[in-house]
Amino acid sequence: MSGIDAAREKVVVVGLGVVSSIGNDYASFWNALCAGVCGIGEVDLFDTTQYRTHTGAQIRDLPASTASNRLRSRQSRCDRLALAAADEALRNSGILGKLPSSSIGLAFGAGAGGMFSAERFRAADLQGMRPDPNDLLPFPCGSTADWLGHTFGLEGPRVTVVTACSSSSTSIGLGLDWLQMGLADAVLVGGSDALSRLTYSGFNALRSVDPDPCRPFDANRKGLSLGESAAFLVLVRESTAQTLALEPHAELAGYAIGCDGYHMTAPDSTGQGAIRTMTSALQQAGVTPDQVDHINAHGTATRFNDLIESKAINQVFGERGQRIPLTAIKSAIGHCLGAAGCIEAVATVLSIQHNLIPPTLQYETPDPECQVNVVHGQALQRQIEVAVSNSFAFGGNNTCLVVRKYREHQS
Amino acid sequence: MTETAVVISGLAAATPIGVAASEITEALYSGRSGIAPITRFAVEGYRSKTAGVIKQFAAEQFIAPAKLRRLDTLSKYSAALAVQALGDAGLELTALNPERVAVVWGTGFGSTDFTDQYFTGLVRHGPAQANPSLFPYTVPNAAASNVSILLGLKGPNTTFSQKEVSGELALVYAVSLLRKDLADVVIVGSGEELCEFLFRAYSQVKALSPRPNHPVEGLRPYDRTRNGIVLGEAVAAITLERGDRVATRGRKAYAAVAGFSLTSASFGLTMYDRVGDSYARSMETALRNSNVQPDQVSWIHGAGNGSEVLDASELNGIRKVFGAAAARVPVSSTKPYIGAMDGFGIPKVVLTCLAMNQGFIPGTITLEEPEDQAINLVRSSVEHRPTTVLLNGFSNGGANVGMVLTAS
Repeated sequence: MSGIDAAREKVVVVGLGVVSSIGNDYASFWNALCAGVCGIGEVDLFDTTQYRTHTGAQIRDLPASTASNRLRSRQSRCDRLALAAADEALRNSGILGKLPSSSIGLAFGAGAGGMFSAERFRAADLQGMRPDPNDLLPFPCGSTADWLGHTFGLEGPRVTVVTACSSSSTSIGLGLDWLQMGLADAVLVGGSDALSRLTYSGFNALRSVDPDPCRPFDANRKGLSLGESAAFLVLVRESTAQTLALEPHAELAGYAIGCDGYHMTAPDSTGQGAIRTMTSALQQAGVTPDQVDHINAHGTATRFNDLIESKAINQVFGERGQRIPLTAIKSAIGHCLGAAGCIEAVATVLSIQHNLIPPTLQYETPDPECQVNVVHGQALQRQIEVAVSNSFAFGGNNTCLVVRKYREHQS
Repeated sequence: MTETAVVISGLAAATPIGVAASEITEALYSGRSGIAPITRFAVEGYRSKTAGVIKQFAAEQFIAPAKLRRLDTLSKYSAALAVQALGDAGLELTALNPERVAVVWGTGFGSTDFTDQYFTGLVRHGPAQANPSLFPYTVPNAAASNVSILLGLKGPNTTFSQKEVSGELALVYAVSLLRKDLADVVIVGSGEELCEFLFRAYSQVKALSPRPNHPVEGLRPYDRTRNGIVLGEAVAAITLERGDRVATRGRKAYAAVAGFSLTSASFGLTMYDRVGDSYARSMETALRNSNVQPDQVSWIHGAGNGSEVLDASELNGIRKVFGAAAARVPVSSTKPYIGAMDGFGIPKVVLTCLAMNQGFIPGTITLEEPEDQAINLVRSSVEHRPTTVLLNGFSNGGANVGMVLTAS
């Protein structure tokens, strides 16, 4: 396949996989999300007594693992989540055994990753106990991707994106690039992140955590809720889907990465960074703002994020900005940091496929400063052709994905 | 070089062999290593006691000291080097459209020092005392973000991490941003800071060469007596642009990025390829992607890091791809100069550009008993201008990046 042909071709989503606090496969996750199930509760992964807050969207039952005890002792919680979600996405795609391993790429988005293990090592170290060297193996950010490559025999391009809360959105964009550049024929893209003391204490120290389940875009919002999850998508070019008789869930139309260039933790108050990123993503996807039917917001429920995201949406979409139905699924699964972008991308794909928008939970009092149409109460049935999914991160690293309903190419 | 070639127009580095281009070039040419006994933290009790450390780098010369005060070392160095690289390329920050300047970084760990300081405080004093001013810098994208914040850049910005090929992956992404015309200039950087926790972690997994009395000789790529890596610390930044833009400014680029390969292998988590087939595939694909025949390569800037498996397998891969030419094409590793660390991709590209510019091929200075006599493993500088360089990037765990740089 020549580069030029590949660049013109549609890229489609043919596989989905999820492990989350509200469901350990993508169908259970989707059903719970649309039914308004909230996964945010008491955290017992570590002792939270001394913290300001005690809640989070923790995964109660880790998915079963077929790995030997020896291998499992070397895997972090983040690795375990990633392996289970990736397994589902690959099975769901139907590509296994149909493409050479060298043509399957892997772009992974990481957050705190194996920090929970590294913390155990360091805590033992500091308390004068003998640390377990296995706890260091997950410390390099790239180690989860290596587990995935090793486990599923993926031998194409491999990369880990580390831009905190937008990592796994960017990883999806990278997969799109590789397919369009002809560097791979299929890509596994997504991310995984587990709760850790580092992030839990860090966001608490910044006083950006709500002691109760978070309420995005609500006038009384007090901050975010942390969560953990893993989610993956399998992407191929349309011709590959046709040749291998794979069923597309949706089309990945385009993406953009951008930056605020403003502050490490605060978003640019003018919203320019978010506006540039959304605008560029729409251009890359070849769609105009008036074609967008749904927004899966970054919606962290911090005062500034929601304010500025609303402002940016109104700027990009004009007077439609306050009408386009928008949802913030962090109200159900918490802010999953490195996995936030891809689990929201999965929700966006499913919204398009089922013409259904899951509700934003805990939304009671509209914030007059956030002029956006927040879907709440119950899931909203709505024909969706094009949707965007936003991710904004520490350091002002923004990513925006554009997803479109898949219409078979008629030649 | 075609009109739309992507070229390296400016560079800057802070390394154990110096921070000025002239100083680094001189050390490379004369074979002066930057590896020395560690004095930054106590090393009693460790088997290995040496590393390549950046001795002095005055980031304040390039960025107002007040703005650098609370930053981690990697962020400070990254921002200062970005300014320096732009200057080296003859680019005025004020004359650029900030939305058209992208920043792409690579690092294996980010600021391990701040992460460890933060976590140590948490363990020792409890969550109520956790330092909120350290936490934001524990994310690996802190360096790239601080480059954009301090320089006021608004273009695409991202950070990659894939062990020893983190920097190479950043460069490849930068090429795609330019080819898609999403930026006029991409500042690409990578690097790693060395702190006690990282040194302890590497010691713990027994990757380090245990030769306490041989400050330099511990890191011996392609040598039969090699027995592990010696850690290093380095940060570098380069500016990538379309060749026609640089030519219009009347500047000469250091090198053109002729092509690359992104491949991987699926074996154990921290393993290198025991055979070398995946390394052969990486080299082959990079050469093909660059339209370069093996016998046109004037230098293989190897991945060899003194580990038993990697070095032998890299040589297997070279034999397989280069055949008879393997006896002629010079192969060397520059890790004995600066040490080994995950985010060394861009420092390695800078060393390559400086050697190409000056017209020599640096040798593997610690080499005494070559692993393979049939391969042209060079020990000291060769007076020959390398015009087509293959850079091998092979990481433990299986991700590989090959790259071909050509004289522009």
